[in-house]
Amino acid sequence: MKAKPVIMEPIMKVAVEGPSEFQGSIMGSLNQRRGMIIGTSEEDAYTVVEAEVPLSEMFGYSTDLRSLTQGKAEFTMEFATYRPVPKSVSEELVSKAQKKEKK
Amino acid sequence: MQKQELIEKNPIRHLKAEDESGKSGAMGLVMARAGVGKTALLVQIALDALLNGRQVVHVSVGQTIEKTKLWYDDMFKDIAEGAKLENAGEIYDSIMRNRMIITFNESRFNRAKLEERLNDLIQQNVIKPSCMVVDGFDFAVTPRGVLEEMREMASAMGIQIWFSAVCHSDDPQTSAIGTPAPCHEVEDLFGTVVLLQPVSNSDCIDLKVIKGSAEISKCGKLLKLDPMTFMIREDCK
Repeated sequence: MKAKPVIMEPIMKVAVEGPSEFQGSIMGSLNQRRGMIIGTSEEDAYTVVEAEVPLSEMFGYSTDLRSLTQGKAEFTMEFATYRPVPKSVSEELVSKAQKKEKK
Repeated sequence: MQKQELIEKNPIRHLKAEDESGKSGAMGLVMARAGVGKTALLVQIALDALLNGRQVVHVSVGQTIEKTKLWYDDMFKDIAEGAKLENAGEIYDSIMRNRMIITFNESRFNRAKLEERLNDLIQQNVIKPSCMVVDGFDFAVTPRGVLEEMREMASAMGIQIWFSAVCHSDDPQTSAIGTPAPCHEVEDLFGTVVLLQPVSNSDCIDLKVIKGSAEISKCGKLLKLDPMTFMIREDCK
C-alpha cells in the first residue's frame, strides 16, 4: 500500500503497588507483557512500579499479580496514549484478517 | 538532522565521568547553588548516554516519577526541535525503553537499598545500566564511607555514576583545587567535578570543569548553560 498504514494500539499507564520484596516479580510480570517500565518509587514498606503496557496484554493480569504476590499487591490503570504495534504483532493481525476475508 | 549527527554534535560529549586512566565505574559530580541547572545537566548527560544506545538509571531522591519523567520529555523536545531531528517521536520511544527512574524519599535512601533495586532490575532482565545519575543526594549528611561504597558498587557493576550536589553561598570552605563545600573533602572520589556558576555581565551560566574530563580541557572549548532553556551550548571563544 502506498500510504504505508500502521496499526495503533491503546497503551495504558499501569501503577502496581505492593510490598518491596515483590518488586522484582512485579517488574518481571510487566516486562513479559510488553510493558515499558517507567520507574519505581519507595513508600514505607511498599513500592509502586509505574509502567506503560498495551491494553491487549492486560487481560488476566489481576489473577497473575495476585498469585505472584500472595495477594498482597494491587494495580490501577488508565489510558495513556496510542502507539504503533510491533511488526510481529501487526503481521499476525494482518494474516488473521486476510484468512477471515478468504472465508 | 539524523540521530548520529546529533550524537556527534552534542556538546555534552566533552563531559566524561572517567578519570585520566579512563577506567569504568568512575563517578562524576555536578555542583551548583539551588535553581542553577544541576538536574537539567544530569538529564542531558543521561539523554546523551541513551542516544548512544546505553541503558540509564535515574535515581531521584525526594522527587516523584512523574516530575522526573517531565524533565526528560522537556529536554528531549528542546534538543529535537533545536536540532530539527528527524523521526524524533520514534527515537524518543525507543531510547526511553532504556531508561528507568527510581525514586526514594529522603529518609529511605541508602546504598544497600539502591544496590538491591539495581540487582532486581538486572535479574529480572528489565535493564542493565551502564550509566546512572543520582539527583538530590544529600552530601552534607553523607559520610565518606557511603560514597566509597558507591564507587566500589559502580566499579563492580561497570556503571558510571553522576551525582548532583547543592553548594551554599554561606559556606566558604573549598578544597585546594576549588571544589566547594560540602564536597571539598570527598572530591578525590570523583573523576570529574563540574561547577555551574552564574557569571556577572553575562547571559549564560559557566560550566566550570574543576577536575577531570580530559577531553574538554584538550578541545579548548568552553561549555555554557543557557539560563532560559538550561541546555548546554558550545562556546568556541
